[in-house]
Amino acid sequence: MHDSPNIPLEDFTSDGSVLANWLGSFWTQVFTQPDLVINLEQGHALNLAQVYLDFLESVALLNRRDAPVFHRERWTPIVLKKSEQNTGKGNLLRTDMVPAPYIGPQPENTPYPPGRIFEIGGHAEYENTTSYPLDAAVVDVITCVTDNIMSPTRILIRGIDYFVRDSTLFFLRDGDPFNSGVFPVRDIDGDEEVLLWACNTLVDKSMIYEHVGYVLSIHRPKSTAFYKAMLNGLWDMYNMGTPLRWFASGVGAVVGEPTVLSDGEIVEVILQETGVQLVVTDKQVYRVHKNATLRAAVVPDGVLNTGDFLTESVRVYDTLDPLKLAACSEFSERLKTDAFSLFFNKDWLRAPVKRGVGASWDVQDIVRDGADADGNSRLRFKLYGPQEDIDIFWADFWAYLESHEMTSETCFQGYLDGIVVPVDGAVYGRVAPLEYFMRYFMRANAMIVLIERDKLAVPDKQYDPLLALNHLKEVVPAHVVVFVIEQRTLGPDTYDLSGVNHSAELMYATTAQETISHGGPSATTATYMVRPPAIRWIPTCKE
Amino acid sequence: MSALTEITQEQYNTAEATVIDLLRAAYPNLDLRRGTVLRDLLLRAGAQITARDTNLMAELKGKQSLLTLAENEATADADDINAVLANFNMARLTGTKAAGTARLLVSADRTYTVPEGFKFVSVDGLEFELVATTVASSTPDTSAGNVQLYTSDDGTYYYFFVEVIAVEPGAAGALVAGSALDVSAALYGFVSAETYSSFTSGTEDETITEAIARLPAAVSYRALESRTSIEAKLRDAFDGGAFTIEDIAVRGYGDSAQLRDKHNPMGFAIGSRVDIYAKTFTRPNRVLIQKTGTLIGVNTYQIDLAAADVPGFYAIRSVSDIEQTTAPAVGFGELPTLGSYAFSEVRSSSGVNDTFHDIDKDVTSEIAFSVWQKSVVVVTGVPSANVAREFKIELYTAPGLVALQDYVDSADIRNLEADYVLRCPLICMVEVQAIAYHSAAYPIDLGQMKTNLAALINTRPFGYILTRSEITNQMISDGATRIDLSHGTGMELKGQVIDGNGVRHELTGDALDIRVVEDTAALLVPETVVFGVEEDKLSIEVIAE
Repeated sequence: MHDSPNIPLEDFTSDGSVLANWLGSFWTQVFTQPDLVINLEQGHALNLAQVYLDFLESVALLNRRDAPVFHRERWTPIVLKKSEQNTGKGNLLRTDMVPAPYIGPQPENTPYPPGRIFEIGGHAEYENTTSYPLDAAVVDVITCVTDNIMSPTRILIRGIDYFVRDSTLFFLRDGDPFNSGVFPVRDIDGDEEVLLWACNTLVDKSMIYEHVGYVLSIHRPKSTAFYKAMLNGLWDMYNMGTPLRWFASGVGAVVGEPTVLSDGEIVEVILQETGVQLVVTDKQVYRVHKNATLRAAVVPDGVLNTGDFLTESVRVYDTLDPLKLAACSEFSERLKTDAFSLFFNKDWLRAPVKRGVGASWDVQDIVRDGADADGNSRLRFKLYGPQEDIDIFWADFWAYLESHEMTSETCFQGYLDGIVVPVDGAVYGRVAPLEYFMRYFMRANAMIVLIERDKLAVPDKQYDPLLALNHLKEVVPAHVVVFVIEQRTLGPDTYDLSGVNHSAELMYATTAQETISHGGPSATTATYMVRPPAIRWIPTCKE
Repeated sequence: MSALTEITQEQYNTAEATVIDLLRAAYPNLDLRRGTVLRDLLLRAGAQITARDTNLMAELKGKQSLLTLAENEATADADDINAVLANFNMARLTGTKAAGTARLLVSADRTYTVPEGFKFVSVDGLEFELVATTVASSTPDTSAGNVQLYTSDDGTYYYFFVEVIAVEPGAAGALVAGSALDVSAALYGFVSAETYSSFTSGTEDETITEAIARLPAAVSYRALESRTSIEAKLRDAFDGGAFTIEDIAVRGYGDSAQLRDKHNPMGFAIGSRVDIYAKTFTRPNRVLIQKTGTLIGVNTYQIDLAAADVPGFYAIRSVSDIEQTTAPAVGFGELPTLGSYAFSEVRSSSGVNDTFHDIDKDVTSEIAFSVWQKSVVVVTGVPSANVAREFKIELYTAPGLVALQDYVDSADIRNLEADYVLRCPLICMVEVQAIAYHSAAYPIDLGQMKTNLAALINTRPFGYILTRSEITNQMISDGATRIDLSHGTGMELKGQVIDGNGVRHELTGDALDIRVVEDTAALLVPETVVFGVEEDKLSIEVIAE
């Protein structure tokens, strides 16, 4: 140590620079380990940086469009325990694993260790990865994982050395920190621990729900970009009402299909990338499903406007006038196949039916079914649904005509042949029932939205059609009805039932929904409402 | 505001962890345990600031959301709540005061003048005051607003009616009929006073959860169009006025219980007709009127209720003599209301054909609960042969239906070709019978439990089901240690609802499920029904064990 100089107190008080000069001398001449100071200040700086990030996050939360989906931690300490190896949520055995693992020992040539026994309710292991559970709120670590923030000896890169799924950190290949020899392993209470630092950790703190979703009372268990977009789309509809463009944007938001964000966007190029199509305009880049059919207007140099869909995966028919299909929708005659049949439940009908009746575009004969007390022919055409309800529907129709001194013929003008013989069963003319209902009852206030679920941009798991419909109903005019038809491909599920002692039971739907399929009640095995759908995973047993 | 003293050890540790790790990178063997100079002098000071700032950020985020404020509602600052609500053009609703009619018994036939603000006190010490100066005499100048001084049937005393309102807001002021009142200052000739009918319920200050429920309408555009925008439009026009819209249900195209858009040969819905059920009350709202009945048979009178008498009323609770105070204390399941004459009624329409509304005036359910509904009530068992006789009629109705209907019909508001009809909600009147056990060391405040249960039932939005579980949960949060749920001797639920055709439906069981009695053609569907209860219908026995 150097000798301490003797400086009178008045020198410090009369001249502030004296103290500063001597402090500088302390760090440069007396204290010989500046790394301590440097690291100390860097540590404080990192903490301040995190506070600043938090501040920016708070500011962003004031704007529902800018609200961050996840909280971001610049640096997060992660403690891995050897005893928790391969026990994360991401390892849980699930029915949607590809390929499906076996219950019991695993065979050769799968991602799973051969011979390793998996049990229902347990965890799967992968041959080339080792995993550890993270905090349940951690969604991803988007930059890197390292052993030391300032002087790392090993940096693991996302996508190359590790990935995060379902709050579980998967190390690829030989990246298990316990085996690397690089990361210091500590023995704690009979277990082994490794401390890692994760850079740019995304944490789900339910910020979207707590700052945006609660306003519309829409809660999703997980925060996603789709959830945020859906909320904003619906919120826009709450704000703006349902002009067609806002309605289209809103539908796009709730089903996860992008719509054009501004007027006059010009398509520059369309790129086919792995698993996705990119529509690049002069203002935006839109990602759509790789198999989606682009709308005719979506071609290079095509001009797009706010609310336009880019693909045909969502088709909106906003006026149901069968005589002017081409004028009412760009999809024109496709309405006849998109909505080949519709079912009208009891709320649609005055007649006291139990379930309802259905109608399709199939042309049906208008036939005579007796006569009323005045001798007027009672006419009817073929509908589908429960026969009892169909009979009630026509009986109500004829009763109304009789009480109002009208004839059936007046209701079918334009559909009847010129000359008919008034006998029971005689064909008086022909009509497409659904066209008739649309033309005379529905065209002013009904619309149809068709959704090709398999070709939506959003991942299938994030899209909840019932949730979407419930919220759409709140914002469409009360005097308007929207039929939403969802098309989806149901792949055949193959089960090897040999050696399984469970009995297989064929179940039939027990409500009106079963008759939605054209031609009468279907032999569907789905159930609805009366019995909740039962999904049973039948494992294949291997000796 | 977060202070250093509010920071926990864990928060310190988190703030210190980064710095410690960096120091150890340079000096792996550095002793940084608590108590060391480096830890306490170098690390802690900075960590404290970081931890405090982190806390402040969390506090800031918490104050930006009503949801997080609601998590600590008891300690949440009212200004913070209103600051968030201001972004939605809203303010937290303050409580309202209970009000009703009181009957004053006096000793002599003279003129009585009771000044505005004159106070009455209930047995529980709740204060009520006179709404307006009231002058009563046996020959009143009604043109001056004076009221009738009646003579009792036996001629031993005199009485008159005054309108009073609670001094403080709150549900506690909802006194049942027949509750004794005392005067807080001398009143010449005063004998006694009592509530003549059950008072309308006051309400407590709006909770954050209730405010959140109003947010969708708050962010909506205002128009008679979508379900949300209709609510927004009506709330904008009426909230904070003579009544508050608690909830609305809209039945439009393709909805159940929308009957008016099928007036065509096929009876196929065409849309463009919208029914709005406005819940403009919390506790089932009673209205008291006096009507003259005409003798139509032996001991039988007919009373004509015009559409304007109690517009859109839901049901008649009682018909009694003017002097009769309808006893509220009916036992569980005892109906009709004790003190009421037996009566029947037939409803029909009045004046609907003079409007543009598409309503079939001959279909009872189409006219039901609307402002064009009128009723003929036949009262039997009346011990009188007078040609005409005065009756007191208590009815359940939604306040403000006429104002609401006039509003949606006005040329300034109504959209072209729009046809909106306001209706009073169907009210499933609930009765609960239960035994609640509690620890002898922790007695139950039965009054508070009843108030909370009533609030639980009466503040629910339109919906289809009320379960014993919901009731049980509330009772347990109010101090019960266990509830007897055994069938026969334990908790029982009972509900009654009258449909648009006047048919009374009874519900019992573990849950009151409207779907069990659903009748679309009679407007009886879950979306048009609210549950309601009056505290005297909560028969709860508490037993210490």
